[in-house]
Formats: sequence, structure tokens, C-alpha cells
Amino acid sequence: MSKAIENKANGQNKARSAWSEIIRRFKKSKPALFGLMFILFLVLVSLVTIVLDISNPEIYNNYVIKQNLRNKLDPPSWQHPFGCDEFGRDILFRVIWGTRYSLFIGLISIMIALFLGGTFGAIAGYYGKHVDNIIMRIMDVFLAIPSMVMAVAVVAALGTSTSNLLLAIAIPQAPRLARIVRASVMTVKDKEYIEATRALGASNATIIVKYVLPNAMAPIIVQASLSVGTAILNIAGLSFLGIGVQPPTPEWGSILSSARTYMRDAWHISVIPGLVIMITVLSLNLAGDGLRDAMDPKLKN
Amino acid sequence: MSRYIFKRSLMMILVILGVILVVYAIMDMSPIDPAKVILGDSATEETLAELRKEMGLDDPFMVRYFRYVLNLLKGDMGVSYRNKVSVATQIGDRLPNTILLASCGVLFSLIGIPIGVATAKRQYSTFDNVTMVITLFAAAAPAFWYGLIMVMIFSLNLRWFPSAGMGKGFVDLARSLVLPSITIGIRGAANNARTTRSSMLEVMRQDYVDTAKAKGLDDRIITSRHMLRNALIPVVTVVGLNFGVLLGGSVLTETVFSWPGVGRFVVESIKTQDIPSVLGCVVTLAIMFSIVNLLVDILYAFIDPRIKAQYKRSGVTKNE
Amino acid sequence: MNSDLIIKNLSVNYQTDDGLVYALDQVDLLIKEGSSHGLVGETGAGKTTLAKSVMRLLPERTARVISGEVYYQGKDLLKEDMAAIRNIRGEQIAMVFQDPMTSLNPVLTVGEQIAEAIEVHGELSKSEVQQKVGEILEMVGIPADRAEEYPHQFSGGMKQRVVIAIALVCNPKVLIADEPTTALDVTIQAQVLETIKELRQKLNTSMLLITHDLGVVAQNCEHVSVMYAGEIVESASVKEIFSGMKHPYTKGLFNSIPKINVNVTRLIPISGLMPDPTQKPQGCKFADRCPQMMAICLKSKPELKEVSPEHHVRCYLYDSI
Repeated sequence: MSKAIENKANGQNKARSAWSEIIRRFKKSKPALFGLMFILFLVLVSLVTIVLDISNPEIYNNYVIKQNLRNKLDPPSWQHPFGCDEFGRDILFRVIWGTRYSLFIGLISIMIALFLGGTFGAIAGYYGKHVDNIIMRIMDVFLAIPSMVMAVAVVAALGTSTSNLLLAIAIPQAPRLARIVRASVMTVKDKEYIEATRALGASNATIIVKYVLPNAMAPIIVQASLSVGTAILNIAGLSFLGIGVQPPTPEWGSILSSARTYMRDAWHISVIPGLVIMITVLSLNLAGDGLRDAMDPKLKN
Repeated sequence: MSRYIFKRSLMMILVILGVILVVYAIMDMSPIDPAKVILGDSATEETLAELRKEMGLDDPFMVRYFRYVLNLLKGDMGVSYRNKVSVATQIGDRLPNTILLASCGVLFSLIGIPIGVATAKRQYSTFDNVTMVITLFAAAAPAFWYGLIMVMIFSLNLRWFPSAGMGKGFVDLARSLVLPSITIGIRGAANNARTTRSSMLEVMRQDYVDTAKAKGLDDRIITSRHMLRNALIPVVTVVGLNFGVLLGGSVLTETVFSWPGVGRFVVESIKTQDIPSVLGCVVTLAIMFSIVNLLVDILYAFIDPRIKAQYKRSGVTKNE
Repeated sequence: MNSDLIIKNLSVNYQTDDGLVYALDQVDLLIKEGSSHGLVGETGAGKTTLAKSVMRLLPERTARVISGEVYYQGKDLLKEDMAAIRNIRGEQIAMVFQDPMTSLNPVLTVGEQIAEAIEVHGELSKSEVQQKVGEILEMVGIPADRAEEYPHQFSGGMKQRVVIAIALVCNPKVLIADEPTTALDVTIQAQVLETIKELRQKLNTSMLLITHDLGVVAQNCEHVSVMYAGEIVESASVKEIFSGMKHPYTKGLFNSIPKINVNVTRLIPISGLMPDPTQKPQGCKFADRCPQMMAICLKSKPELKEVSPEHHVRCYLYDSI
């Protein structure tokens, strides 16, 4: 990983040309491209459903959450390709409308985690010594709590509102990202061009934000992209337990929450949302791995 | 060596105190009023206030925290709001079941190691490619979902294993452990396979492997003595980290399989707003994870003599 | 049986992402029993590939032996099966690698690493093995009681002594030393080479010493071959090379190092770089950099010609002789 940093550490201009090189290498990996395409597709799906909801709320009401007990537990058919759930709701619609919850809760929570962890990690890595020691010991404490256990604790204490869910997913990921940011910053901060900037009288904050972080970006982006997958799995887990996104909101994990009860009569409720989660997380992992290989070909085996 | 263990244990105790502080603080933010949960909605403001005072809920946060830690040392985690039974007793009843399930899950996840070795030795072969694709998929879906699918196939259709509960007697217990163990360990197995593979590939390139070959050693000995011991160093870390994921996963897996463990207990307690039970469970799982981390660090020092030496020389703690 | 090591017409390619790399091109080399042969050349000339070909340590996936034979005791090592090769490795032909920092296994004690070389080639009791480990350590100048220690507890020079101990513990007939001192401090270099020399004399081991340092060759070898871009360009006894070197590349190499007895104000580097190893030029590979380049040099490749007994040169300048 240090090689990647070094490659791009020779100043920002070089960093920029390194980016085009990264994009070129990323494009060469078919799995990574597939992953990225699928994620972009999901983003598009989310945006389209949001626009539809604003322009015509009836679609959401009639097809996504309206119960229609006549179709209860219908297996997949031409009319309902993914089948229907225990309330006769079309699972295809619910999966499509659920995209935004799984995806955006995953993305936004990792952004929060990156902000929290990044701030502490950058401070720890940049100042070193006691500051580093204190911050990282605190991070050790957070790391000692398994992420799903931590998420359960946050939800248990604060409740299941969307902002609390975001926190519940973000807090356990923050120290993991803090470690990566810290390590990256530490390898970059002693480079000559940082020394030069310091000699010009720039403040510490300016140096961290404008010079250190951009050059320490590579491993941070990779870790963050892989963390989004973990976040999606965690949110699905919480919803499955009934302490995540609340019904009738069609988050993928919450579609699964009734699966166990109806396992005998309706296999499709279990199988289909799980497959969707799997392909999404797989895409994120493929894109993340591709990005890592593109940023540091040496790491590829 | 004993000094190293002592030092790490001391660190662990500090970390556990920190963990309790964090978890206690999070739980303390809960808007739920314990007095109200206990006495019900019909209680008057006066009786509520009285109970709060009696329970020491009005004391400053740090006072309550230290009281909790001191009680914990005596094995007292408070009383469940729901049924007035001691939390420690309830957790004590369930913890062995969780440890049993988690251990079986870790054991299952270890099959990733020989798989990783085999794929590394046949890099780019069809076997390697197929296995790596499988591990990618295995790591991408929620573990509890695999549990659901396996129940549908192996319990409901084939009737090989029970779909829920914990069997009594060795044979039934073993049968009831199979599906939950695979569920809880499957993502770990995938991670172990991938980590072992890349670590083996890294080690295979090392000069000391050429030195070993130049001695005239055969392939089997080179793999086991020279490659694997070095390749396992990063794998041990991953197995340790997986244990954390696995304990978190116990919350889900135990729910899917109605396994009478701490994980299911915490979910039930959340639904009944039983704060002392939730707190007790989270603290218990975090302490278990800390202990596993300590064991992993000690194991580490046994595999890698450089770590031992590092501690001997400067006494610094490793951080990376 | 005669234990000469004879390399004949050896060509090796690597398949890389950038295309086919021609690493060795029709290399001939003879290392006589008990003698010491230096192989000199720049980084990338193919010296290590040559050593690894003999040991059959070339990376399986990328390296291809295109032509040639490596004869040892009447057998072609390139055609033997792996079981036979394992018997030869360590026991008959041993190797010392370039970087002592990475050529020892960090998780095994040095004693264990020496012991396994003994155990694989003979049925000895545990105590006999231990005794032998102690002896060889003392021979390379390390106290026997340090056998219990791990590689990270040794300095670079000491590590290289351990590597030498591993290589020589089974009294091999041939030692291939691939830049054994390049990674070490200058003062340590001389000590390590002295250790190798003493042991060789005791055990009557022949040696292929790979280096880019002509001074090292002068002190340690009887014969020397100069390698350039995968080819041997000059081969002679050490005495003859230093008194009458022929090839422009050899001269260039010699001029680019400082001499103690001649007062030179400036070292003369060889201009230019080695040719792209993925290209096979029509003519002489050194032509671009050669100060005495002639028209014919670009057209066809010179053959290795004898200029005096046991002195061969690959250059058109000496065609008339």
C-alpha cells in the first residue's frame, strides 16, 4: 500500500496524472467494471424511484406498500416475476423501491464514518506522539466491540429512526477507517513537499486538508468502498431482526424479516431479496478490489 | 514471554473498562425511563421519582458507571426489568451455548485455510478460479440468509438437520449444531481462504523459499515448514477479527435458528426495552471478543519470533 | 567421477506482460572441479538466470528453457526429474543467494535451517546433526551456541555466514554464489569472501561466483566470463583478462571502476544502457554503446572466437587473429 502512496506522493500534479493511470488500469478489469456498472445502475434506480415518488406518490402507495391479500404468498409468475409477500405485495416493486434504503444508508453511513474516523485518524497520524496514542487507544476500545453488537446497542438505546440507524452503522466502521487514514497520513506527512509547505508557513489544518489527505487518498477510498458492502449487510441484518428499517418501508433486509415465518410456503421471499443483496455487495467488493489493484498493481496476485 | 502476556492482559483490562464505559454511555442516552418500564404507564410521577432515587438513577454518570463496574466484578449485572431475574444468571445460562456455537463456527471457518493453500499452489488453474469466485459470493451475502436457504434445503426438504433449537444429548446436539455453525462461519471461511491464498502467494515469492529448495527439501516440507508458518501470520489476525464478526453474527444466526444464546437474548431484550439485559449482553460479547484478541496476540507471538523479540527489547505495544 | 559443471548452448526466455524477454542466449560455461569461476556483468545481464537454471529454480510459470544442456557427472540436469534434482541440490551443488536479509526463514532458528539441509541428505541421529550444525557454524565464524537464535537476531554479514553454512554443510562439489556480498558493507564483504575461500579449500569445492565487481573476481577466481545482455562476450583466465582484455565491453567495465595503482582523474562510464531485453538485435548487442563499432557489427552477430588458448572473445575486432 505504501507504494501506491509513494507513487502519488510526489506532489499534486503527479497525483493527477496518476489518477488517469488508475482509471486506465481499472477499466482493464472486467469484474471491477461490472461491479461499478451495477452500482451505478442501482444509483439510477434509486433516483428514478425518488423522482417517481415526488411526481406520483400513488405508485408507492398502490404497488409498494398497499396490501392485497388475494395475492398472499403468490409464487413468481409472469405477472409478479419475484412473487408476492405475506401481504400480497409484489416483491419486485418492493425490491426496486428498497434499493435506495439499502444503498443510501450504506453510502451515507460510510460517509459519516469516514468523516468521524477520518478526522480522528488524520489528527492522530499527523500529530503523532501523545495525541496519536490517546486517540488510537480510544479507537482500540471501539474496535473491541464487534460491529453488529455495537449497532444493536446503538439501536437499542436510541431507537430505529433513520438517523439513528445511520449512526448505528457508522460508529463501528469509524475506527476501522480511522486506522487506515492514520496509517496513510503517517506515510505521507514526512515527505519533502509537506516539509516545504510547512516551511512556507501554512497552518497545520491547511496542510492536513490541502496536502496530506489528497495524497493519502488511495487506500482510504479502497477501504471505504469495501466498507459500504459491510454497511449494507449490517443494515440488512438489523432490519431482519426487526430493529432496523421499519415496515412497511421496503428495505431489502426488512423484506427478508418475514421470510423465516413463511419459509415452508414461499421460498421466494427468502431467496430473492438475499440474492439482490448478494449481487450488490459483490459488486461493491469487485469494484473495491479493482480499485485497489488499479491503485497498486503490486498488490495484485 | 510471561511478561508479554502480563502486559497484554493489563492492556486488555483497560480496553474492557473502556468498552464498558462506551456501552454504558450509549445505553445511558436511551430516552427510555427505567422506572416507567418497571412500574408501567399507570404509575404516578411521585412513585416514579421514588423508584429512580432508590435505583440511583439520579446520580452523576461516572458514579453510576463505577457502581456498574464494581457490581460487575462481583458478578452482578443488575436485574432484568422484564422478569426481575438477575441478568447475570440469564446470561450465564445462555453464554455456554453461544460459546459452543461460536467455537464450532470458528472451526468451520478454518476449512478456508487448506482451501487457500491449495488454490495458491495452483494459481490461475480452473480449481483456483472457481474457488475464488465461490468465496467472493460467499462473502457477499448476509450470513443469516445462508442460514435461511440451508434450512429450506436441508431441514424442510431433505430433513437431515433440525431447523431450529438446540438438541439434547450428543447426537442431537451435534445435528442441531451443523447448520448454525456453517451459517455463522461461512463468511469467515471465505475470508480465511482469500487471506491464506494471497498470503501464500506472497510467501512463495520469498527468497527463503528458494534457499529451502536449494537445500534439496521436497515440496511437502517446503510448503508446511517454510511457507505455511509464515503465511499463517496474517491469517491468525484475520481469524481473530472474524471472531468479532462471528459474535456479532450470533445475534442473527441465533435468531434464525432459535438458538438459546446471548445473541437471541439481546434481541428479545431490545424488544422489551430491557436495558440492563441489553447492556449485560453487549458487555459480555465485547469482553469475549477482547479475550479472544488477547489469545490471538499470544498465539501470534508463538508463530512469529520477531514479535516476542520486539516486546523483549522495548516493551512497546504493537499498533498496526 | 569428474565433477565438472558444463553449461552448453543454454538459452532461456521469460514470458512477461511486456512480451518475451530473452534472458540467456546460447551461453557456454565450464566450471572445472575444484576451480573458481567468476561471472561478471551488469544487473540484468542474465547472471542470476544462469545460476537458477543450473539449480532448476527458475520460476515455472514464466521461464522457458529454449535450448541447451547443463552437464554434471554425466547427467543433463535440465532433463532429470525433480526427485533426482532434489538429491543433487545441497548435496552436490549448493547455492548462496544475493540478499541475506531475505534468504533465511524468519520463523525458524538458524540451527533448524542448517539442520534440515543435513537431515534431507543423510540418516544421522539428532545429536550427530546438532554436532554438525555446531561445527559448520564455528567454521563460518559463528559461536555454535547461537544456533538457537532466530535470523532477526543476526546482523547482515552474520546472516550471510549462516546462508553459507547452509550451502556448505553437506560438502557440495559445486557452490554457486550469486552476488554473495553485494548487500553487505565493504568491510564485511572481505570477511565473508575470505570465509568462503577457506571453506572451499578445505572441502575442495568448485565455485561459480557471480558478481559485478571485477576486484572480487581478481581476488577469488581463476577464470572469468563476462556477460552482456544474456551472452558471454569474453572468457579467459583471470590473469589474462587483467593483462590483455579484448572485448570493448570488458574494457568499459574495467575503466568504470577506480584503480589503486593508476592515477586516474576521472572514471569513464560506459555510455548508454543495455538493449531492451524483449528485442533481439540483428547484430552485436553491444554495438550501440561500443566506441569501436564497425559497419559489420550492426549486420550480423559475432561468434565467440578463440584469441589464445582458453581466451575467447565475441567481437569482430579480433576476427583477423
